[in-house]
Parts: sequence; C-alpha cells; structure tokens
Amino acid sequence: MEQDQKLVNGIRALLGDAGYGDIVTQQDGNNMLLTARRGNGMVTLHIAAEATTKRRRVEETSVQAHDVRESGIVVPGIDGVVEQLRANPELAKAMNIPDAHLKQIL
Amino acid sequence: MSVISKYHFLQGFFNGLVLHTNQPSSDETFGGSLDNNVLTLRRPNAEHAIDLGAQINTDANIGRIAKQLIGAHASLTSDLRVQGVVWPSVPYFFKFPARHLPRDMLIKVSFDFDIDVPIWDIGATLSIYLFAFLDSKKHLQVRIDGTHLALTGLIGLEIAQKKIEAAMPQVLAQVDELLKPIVAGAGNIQFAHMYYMPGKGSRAIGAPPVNASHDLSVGLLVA
Repeated sequence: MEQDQKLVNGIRALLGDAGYGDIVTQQDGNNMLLTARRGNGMVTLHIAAEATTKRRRVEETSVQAHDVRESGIVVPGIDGVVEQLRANPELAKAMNIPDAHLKQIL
Repeated sequence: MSVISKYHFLQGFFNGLVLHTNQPSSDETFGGSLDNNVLTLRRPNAEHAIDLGAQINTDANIGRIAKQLIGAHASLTSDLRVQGVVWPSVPYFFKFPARHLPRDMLIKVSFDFDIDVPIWDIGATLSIYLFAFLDSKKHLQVRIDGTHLALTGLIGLEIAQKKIEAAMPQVLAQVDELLKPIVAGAGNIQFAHMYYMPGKGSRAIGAPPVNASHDLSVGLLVA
C-alpha cells in the first residue's frame, strides 16, 4: 500500500511536469484510480489489488425508517402462499424467491 | 358487469409475458386464487382500477428522475418499470423478515442508468420498493419501503456507488412526489379491499398479453 502511494506520488509529479492538471486520486474499494487532464486529453491509471478482466457486480440495499407493520391494515397479497410454497417448491423460482429467504419462511 | 380475469404467467409470477383473458360474470363478489402459474381474480363491477405503470412511467416523471441522476454523472437508459413482487423476493427481506408478512406484495419501481466514472460506463439498476395498503381508516396509502442498487462494471464501482448514494435522497424525494397524485386520485374514499393485477387492469374480453415486468395495476373496492 505504501509502495503504491509512492508510485502514485511519482506519477503525479511526472504528470505535472508533462503539463497535466486536475490530477485526482480516488480509492475504489481496494483499488486506486488516478485521472489527470491536459486540454482535451486525459490520463487514467488504475492500480488493482487483484488483476481481473471480468465485470464485477456490487449490490447495496437500504430501508426507510418506518414502524413495524401496523395491525388492521389491508395489503394486497397471496393468501396461503407459505402453504403453496411448501407444497410446490417450484413456485419459489417462479416468484424469484432466493433459497435463503425461502428457508426463512418455511 | 363483473369479470373473471385469468392471468397465465409464462415467465414467472408477475414477471415478463402474461396471457390475460377476461370472462363476463354475474357474480359481484371479489375473489382471488393462485393455482400454479395462473392467477384468477373475480372483479366486481364497482372496481376502481389504477394503472400504476401509466401513472408512474410518464415523460414528466422520467425527466424528474433523469435530472437527479445527471447530478451523479449518470444517465437514464430505460423507462420506469412498475412490477408486483412478493415480500420474500425483495433483496432486503433477509435483513428484516418481519417487516411485512410473507403473503404481502410490494410494488417495485426500477430503472436502468449508466454512470460515467470518470470515463468507464458502469451499468446500474435502481429498484425502489413501495408499500401500498389501506390504513385502519380504509384509505389508500403508498410509501417508499426500501431500495436496491446493483452496479456492474470492470472498475470504479465503489466510486460510482458513492456518487449514486449521495444522489439517493434527491431521487427518493422525486419518487415521493410522483406518488402523491396516485394517493390523491383515490381521494378520501374508503376502500374495503385492494389487489394487484399485472398490466393495465383491462376488463376487455379480447385483452392482449401484458408485460408484468413493466406494468402493474391496483384494483380497489369501495367499502
């Protein structure tokens, strides 16, 4: 990590000498991304902790702060869905229910 | 006249292509049942139907969302899709399983966009889950329940994620705004029951197939 930082500092200096400005270093997970611009031109440098040519997928969920489900409300749904899922596990695939979620409700 | 609507799901429950048939009926009582991949709804004549896809996926709403994304160096690449989902299929179910009942359905509004960070395009999909219900006074309520963000790309994903997360409050504020007319459209009417239908909620006898991944309707029955 320290070596990478030295490398980035050296490259920043070289880019500056070559007339590049707007030099920005950003942390991208475990990787580092450096960009610099000169006129309409651009330099990018990606220092990867692990080399890969595969596209990655990152997911993030968040929930709104609400109270727990109130009683006495009417919600659209499928009555008896748990029993149906128990009798017909294929239904879980049709409903796009992940295995871990299915285990939670059965 | 009442109709019996049958929805034959070809690509999953409330997902993709759905064959839809309507049959006239003299039965005024509501009923619903799921038999494997066929949902049958007995829809009384007094049904108040709202086409959520038509209400949400408007040029004005697309413009509102796109404007907020531009601030995050992102550009909208799809329409606003509206889909019905069962609670156990929602990505954050596992963290909060008791938040809803397994039988409950939520509304998923999703759209795709590209992020420029700083020169690599990253593909992203944001899904916003809405919880619609009749409150204890039998009035329609719709609120944002949660979100799921998926990013795919080679590099710059974490940088892009931070940019989108920073823009998220403004995006959700816009979604909140576009929900208000839907609730206002139901007025101060008291409803006894509500249910979801894939597509536009057509009652026509020769109803065309619908794309359940893009359009969802809600049926409301006056109390």
